[in-house]
Amino acid sequence: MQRSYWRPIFIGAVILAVLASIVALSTFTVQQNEYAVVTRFGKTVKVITRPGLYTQMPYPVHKVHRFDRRLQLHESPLMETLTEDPKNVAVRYSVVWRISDVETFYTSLGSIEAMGPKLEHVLSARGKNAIGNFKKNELLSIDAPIKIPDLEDQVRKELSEVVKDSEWGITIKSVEISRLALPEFNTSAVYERMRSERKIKADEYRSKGEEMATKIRAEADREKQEILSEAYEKAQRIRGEGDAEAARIYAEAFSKDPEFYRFWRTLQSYDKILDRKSTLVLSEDSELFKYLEK
Amino acid sequence: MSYKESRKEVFKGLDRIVLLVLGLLFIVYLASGVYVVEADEMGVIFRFGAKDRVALPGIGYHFPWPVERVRTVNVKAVRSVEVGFWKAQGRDQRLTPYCITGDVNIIHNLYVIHYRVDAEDPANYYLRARRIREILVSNARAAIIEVIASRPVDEIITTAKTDMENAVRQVLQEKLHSLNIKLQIDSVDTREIQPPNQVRDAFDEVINAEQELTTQKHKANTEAIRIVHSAEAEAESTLQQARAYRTDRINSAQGEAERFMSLYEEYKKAPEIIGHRIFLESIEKILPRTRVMMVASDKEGRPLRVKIFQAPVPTSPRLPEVSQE
Repeated sequence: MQRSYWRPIFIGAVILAVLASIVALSTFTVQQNEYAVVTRFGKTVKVITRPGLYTQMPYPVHKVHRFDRRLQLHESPLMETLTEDPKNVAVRYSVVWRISDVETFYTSLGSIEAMGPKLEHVLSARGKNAIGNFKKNELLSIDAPIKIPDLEDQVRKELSEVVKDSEWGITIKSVEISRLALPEFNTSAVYERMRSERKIKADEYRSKGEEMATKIRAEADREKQEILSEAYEKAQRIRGEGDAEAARIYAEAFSKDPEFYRFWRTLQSYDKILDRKSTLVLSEDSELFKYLEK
Repeated sequence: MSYKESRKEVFKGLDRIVLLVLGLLFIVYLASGVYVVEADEMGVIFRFGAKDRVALPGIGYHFPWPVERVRTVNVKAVRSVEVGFWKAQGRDQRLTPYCITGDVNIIHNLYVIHYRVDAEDPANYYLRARRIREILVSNARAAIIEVIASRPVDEIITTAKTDMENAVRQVLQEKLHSLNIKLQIDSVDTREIQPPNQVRDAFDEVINAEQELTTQKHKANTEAIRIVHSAEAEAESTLQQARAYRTDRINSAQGEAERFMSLYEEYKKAPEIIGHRIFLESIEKILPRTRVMMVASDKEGRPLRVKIFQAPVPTSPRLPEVSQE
């Protein structure tokens, strides 16, 4: 008796589950960031480049292969090569690419992982060759605009051609040098040169320092001479002023009676001239003694 | 009530519970379409995988899985990544990475790149590139190489820091733009710029020499200031001496003139007498210290006799002060 309550629920659930699994197995979604290739027993039947909900025959009849449609990055190992000069350099390329024709990509390569070695192979030939078109001082320079962008552009073009001819169904978006180095045996020579350049620079600073110091001192000495001679000139003028003023004062006073001045001044001179060592020889007739004799 | 009947009752109740649970599950399923976009985020809603619409910050609703999905991305947060040629990374572990300068010097560097996801096109962050951060780093490396390869090492380690940061930012932004990757580079900051360890001492020596130059210059300047100051002091003292001399000359002239004038005033009153007195006063002062010879002469001026009046006291060791000892 009790089964009658369970039966409709149980049957409903089973029907729902079967329906859901049929829907789930016969539909699939393609995301915005991917392409899909549908194959029937290994043969391509549908290429989907637009995202959305799609129907399919359930596995194993139909198989859906999804491919990332976004930009992919490939970085090459560091590879040594020669410039036009020829000088040794080592470069690493970074390539950005994406699938542009998923059907071709699926048939030629089948997976994104398979792309790496292919790109590697092309880069090791074309990438190395391209550097041979440039001189080292065109890639590294402080005088002229450097040609690294030209080199990158050239490799990108060559890579694009190869990719097109090979029909891999991808597009090269950019090629860049993400590492530029010197071979190991070259670096010690560079260090040696750097060292001697630094030494020259240091010596330059030192001699410049001495030169500067000497210049500053010489300048100070010159200034000193200027100050002193100016002061001497001024001092002499002041002394002259004093002398002149004194002379004027004397002249003004003494000109009242030059005769008396001469008399008085002469007496003062006697006072100064005559000392203990002096001997005066006077006549008996002199004014001083005129009373003595009488 | 029989046992069977009571069981029937229980199952009747169970039916309702099962229905209730199923109903609740369905409501929960419908409610799973509610989504929240935070204030600093932007959301993108995909319907069966296809980009359908942009979801702005706030609460929204989309059809539940598997019909629609929302993906949010923070468009305000500043993200950062360290890029440079500093410590060995990845497959070139045996070599410490470095850059080559325009004048072929080897230099290590490390930059921090600050970037944001473009709010205008948030879906781009998920849809444009598979390893977006790695592509950013690789592009940044290329930008740094380019910027360093066109500058001399002297500028790189001293003055060109800001200039280089700007150049890296600009080159990197252009590269991303050409790949249509919508990341906004806010700034590029230098974390490290250093010459290799093998030549570090030589670079340090240049820095020392430069400092020495500054010290030497400073010392010379100090000395120069001292020289000038002492010259100024000397000049001042010369001037002061001259001024003292001038004052002295003028003052003594005035004093003498005044003395003369007062004497003259007296003299004017009786020139004969005062004149004679002045003469005698002077003679009185002078004669006592000199030896005086008086010569009498005849009318023709021939000397007749000589009288010696007074000899000055000779300076001798027999002076009274000495003998008193």
